[in-house]
Amino acid sequence: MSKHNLQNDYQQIPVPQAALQERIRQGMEQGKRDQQIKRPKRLRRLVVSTGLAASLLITSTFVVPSFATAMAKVPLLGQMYRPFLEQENTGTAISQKQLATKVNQVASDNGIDIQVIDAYYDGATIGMNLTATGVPDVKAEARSGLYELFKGDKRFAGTETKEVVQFKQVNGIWQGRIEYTLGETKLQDTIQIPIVLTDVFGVNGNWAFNVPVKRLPVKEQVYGTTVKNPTYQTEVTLDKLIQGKGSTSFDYITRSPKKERARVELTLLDSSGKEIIRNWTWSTQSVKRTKTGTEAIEQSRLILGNYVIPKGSYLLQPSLRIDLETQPIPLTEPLPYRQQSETHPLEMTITSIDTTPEQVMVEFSTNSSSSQFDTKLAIRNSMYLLKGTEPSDGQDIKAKVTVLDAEKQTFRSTFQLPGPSEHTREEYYLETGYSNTVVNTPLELQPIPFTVN
Amino acid sequence: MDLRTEHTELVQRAIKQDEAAFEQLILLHSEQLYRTAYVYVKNEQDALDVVQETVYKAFISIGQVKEPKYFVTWLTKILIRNCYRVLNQQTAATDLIEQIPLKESSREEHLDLIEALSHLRKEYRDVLVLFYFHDVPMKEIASFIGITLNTVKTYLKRGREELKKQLGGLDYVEAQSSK
Repeated sequence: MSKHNLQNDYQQIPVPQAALQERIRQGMEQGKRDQQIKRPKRLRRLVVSTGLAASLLITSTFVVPSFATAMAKVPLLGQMYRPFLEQENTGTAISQKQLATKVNQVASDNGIDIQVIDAYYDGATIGMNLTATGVPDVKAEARSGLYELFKGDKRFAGTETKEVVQFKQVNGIWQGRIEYTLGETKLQDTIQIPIVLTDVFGVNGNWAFNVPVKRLPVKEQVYGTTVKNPTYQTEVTLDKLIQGKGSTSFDYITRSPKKERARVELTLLDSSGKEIIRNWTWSTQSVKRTKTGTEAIEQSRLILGNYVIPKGSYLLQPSLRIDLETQPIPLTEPLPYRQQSETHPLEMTITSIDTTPEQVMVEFSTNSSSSQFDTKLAIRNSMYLLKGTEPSDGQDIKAKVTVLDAEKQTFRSTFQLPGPSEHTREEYYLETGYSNTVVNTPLELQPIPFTVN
Repeated sequence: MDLRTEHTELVQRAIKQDEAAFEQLILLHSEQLYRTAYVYVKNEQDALDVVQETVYKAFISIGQVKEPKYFVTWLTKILIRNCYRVLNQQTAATDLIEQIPLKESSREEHLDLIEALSHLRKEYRDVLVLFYFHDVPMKEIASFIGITLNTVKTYLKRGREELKKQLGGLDYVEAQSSK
């Protein structure tokens, strides 16, 4: 698919400038009015929430420790977002240590010169530093390029070999860094990497290189340590550690029942259990996924860029996220309506749904008796009422959740409808927030001990 | 001062409630916001509604932006959410009134792409829009949407395949170059 052609079509969409500027002005005016009214209210609610959450967590009695610990970590939706940081690039360490191989290849097209300054192959990461000259004066969103590695051969980089490289101007020179984590196929230590840049700074062209790189010395330690978690029918094996000059990678294998989609994330702890690096989704590469009759086997690689693990004893703490597929339920659904997972212990039951022309009230209970406030918070962020079933994040109405009985874990959600409706039960669907709460409530598995020599 | 630094400074000022900086930023990105909205909602009035709502929401929540360089991604996410809101309203409205043909005369050139995108699964469309029109790297898309990098790759791949099918089963590149 050509980015250039897609963007050409995109750029041809005519923009009604005057109307657009007027709408921007109106949006800002609306914001100013709303901000004056709402700001104090929002601040007060935040303070109350934090205080209550803390006190409830302190006074809670945990019935099932691992589940309760997991529940205590229910993130707010906003906390799911974490920007990718340049400091976590393997290339940051490689540049500081001056370990990249000089390349100095130049390719020119349409008046733009792209130069590959240097390249590196460290552990399971390939990287290149580029500069660009002859660059047209373009908008912020066009200061990037699209590149493809290995002529699109998916064996080397998972399912996709194209990626965006962003350029920034440093001391008047446009610089970009390509960094790619490798897939299943192991490369030779010395290799020529074909790379083609196509759309650069909004200009369609062809900038092709064949970049020689030599793998930096690595230390590999094979462990094969398996930790079983019979409660969740999940096994995690630490296969090996790859210690590069600017990165550390862990190869691990997860075996779990194939009935529910599960993924395991790792957190690196020191031997006393103190957190060193927490895993995030972007740094984990799924290398290979296979299924047998009953189980899913996933080979994954966690790459910690700009981090070289020192000698010592450590723990890898796996956590299991269950990703359930649920559908919004009609308000006419027979009650009680129970939602549960075959792996995750959280259960939720809708016990009553009352509708009036103005509002919908839903009462529900959960089995999470140890951490009622977290459940309320998670549900408040993910339970909503939909007019129709699709799309799932369309015209949604947020719930106002109140605790009916903290001990029994019963709650009531009230949805205020935008206008009176005579057919509320037929028109609206309920997204309970159950699957969202489950995926945001990872289950802690047994830690895997290992030593770096 | 280069343009990127200037942009970062504008975002930093906007985060600190500098209205002039916020307005300047929005104007810088206004065409892109409008075009992306149009790709989703497919008519001028709804696209303008989406932009207005996006500006409003961005204005009241700009303080949530922690890293200035992710401002564009953050803004685009708000925009896309608003597009879905309008799309849902459109679906509800078509049940009540007979659909009137849209009168825009300038749609022909980009109609294929917009139509094709509108038939994609939501997940594929969002990832394609962020990747191709807003130049957001896959790692950042993964982080922002809350899915794995591999899922982003899969969505891109499947989205492109679907797009090709929607565009008549031909490779879009070939189809375009033969025009």
